[in-house]
Amino acid sequence: MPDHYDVIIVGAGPAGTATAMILAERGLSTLVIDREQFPRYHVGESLTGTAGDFIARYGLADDMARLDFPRKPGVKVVGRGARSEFYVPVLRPTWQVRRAEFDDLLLQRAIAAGAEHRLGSVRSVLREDGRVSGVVLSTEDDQRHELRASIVVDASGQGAFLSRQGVAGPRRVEAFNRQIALYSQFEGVEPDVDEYENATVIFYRDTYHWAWLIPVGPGTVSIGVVLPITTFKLRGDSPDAVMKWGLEELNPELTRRCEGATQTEPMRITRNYSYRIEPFVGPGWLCIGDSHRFTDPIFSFGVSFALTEAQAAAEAIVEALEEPAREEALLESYAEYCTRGQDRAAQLVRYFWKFPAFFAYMTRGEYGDDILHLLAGDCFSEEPLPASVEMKKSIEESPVLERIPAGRGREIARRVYQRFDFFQGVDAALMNVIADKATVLFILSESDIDLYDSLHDFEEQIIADFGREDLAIFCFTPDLTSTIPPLDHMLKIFDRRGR
Amino acid sequence: MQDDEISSALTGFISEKILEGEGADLDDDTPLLEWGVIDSIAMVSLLSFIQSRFAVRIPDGEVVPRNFHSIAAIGQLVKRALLERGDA
Repeated sequence: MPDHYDVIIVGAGPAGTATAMILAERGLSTLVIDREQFPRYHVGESLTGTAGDFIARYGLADDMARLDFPRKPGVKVVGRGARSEFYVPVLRPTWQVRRAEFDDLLLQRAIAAGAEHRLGSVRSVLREDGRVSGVVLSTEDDQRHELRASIVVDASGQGAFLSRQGVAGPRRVEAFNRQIALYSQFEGVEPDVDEYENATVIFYRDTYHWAWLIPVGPGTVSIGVVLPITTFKLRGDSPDAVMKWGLEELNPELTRRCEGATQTEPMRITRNYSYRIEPFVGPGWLCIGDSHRFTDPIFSFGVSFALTEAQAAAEAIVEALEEPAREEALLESYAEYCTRGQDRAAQLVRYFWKFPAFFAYMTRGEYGDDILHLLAGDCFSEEPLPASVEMKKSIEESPVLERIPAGRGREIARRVYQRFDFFQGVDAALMNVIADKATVLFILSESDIDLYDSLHDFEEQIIADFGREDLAIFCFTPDLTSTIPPLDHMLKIFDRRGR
Repeated sequence: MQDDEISSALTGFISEKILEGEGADLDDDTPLLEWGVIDSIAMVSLLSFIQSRFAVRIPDGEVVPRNFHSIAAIGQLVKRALLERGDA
């Protein structure tokens, strides 16, 4: 094994192998490392239109046909109680994929293009003169190797290797809610037919309570139930019990379609929450995909964004190696590109959860085409689409905020307003602003430790951003309601008690 | 049609049909979204009430939060729709 490469990539998921394939095709010496033997299982079977573009551009369409992956025509969203539904077609050909095979296909293509692949664990990074200059790898035979590279790429997914190493920034929680996902594969589920055949179906119950149904092969579907951790505990507290609850109670249409279903794989379970890591580029290194940002997976952006970012990262790396003096500017511009796209996707998801009563109208009206494009993954354009501008305004602005005098107090209120999706865990947020002193008061609907922890994370962020001085944050669980001070003089940011 | 006529029709519908008689404290500026008054089901019935009471149809593209923050905002939306129909 050589001990120097142009580029070392940590992680052989789609972000890593797409980057490796492009770089190797451009003639760079590239090493991709993963601790798992491929093919290996991974969740996230649905691709969007931009992943379809990647597949077409790099000549993978024949492989998709050979592996018999279902063609995905669109996404159907079934509303609460199955009383409404809307359908969003895909704009370009794309697929539902069994990730074990799809990810292995990308890895084999990277190897065929000339990338080297090693099995092993990356333990730490090497640094020289303020740059990341390589990694320390332990291989299966317990050998320790110091490998040097001009650029190190973190494509380690939610493991967020460079953040853990203290190279990239810390992980910052981006949404209030912590979720849990339970999923497996099933046979005997009633299929969609005709134009909807092999569509992704999203079943909605309540804010943050939803399920996916993704056809992954002839007669086989992936079903996942996603809910807040607080609800998980309430609904049985075990994966099997909660999956049963999901199939029976989450949405009547899901229940009906699953009447004759048989589970064919073990149950899998993942805790996840939206986060971002900043900075995610620096001297000699950059992060791609989940290793710097993860957003609620409801619209299946994961693989598609990994592939979009991988192409941008590969371009930046090729140019930076040709002209090292431009590395900083190239990586900064890569980071801006990623942040732009990820922010727009996060807005779309936030809007969906915060304003469920409005989302379906948005898919049909003057913004309909924009929503199709955003759901296809076209989130990275230089200028935002009008729908993105409208959604951003809705998330950040409200007459409620105008009632608070302009200044620090109003900005704190705006942060609270942005963050909360009015979900049932927090019933009310109230605020008092006198001169520069701000008091924020939250009323929780349950005495739950996870809920309390989530709120604590959020408090820490407010304090980090606005300063501890003249800022008091109180949080009342139901058992403490008798100790809540009189609230008449306080401004309500939101209040769903009694609704 | 007068502003207060639109406003009282909307207030009546929201407090009687959506809040089922519990909307006594409702005024023109009550934040309907933040107080949890309007959800998906309420939205469907509110839009069909507007269509039958004022004989105007709200285009899908206008069904966005800023037009539904309060009774005053919905009133403005109805008024614009009436103007476009040409008989305000």
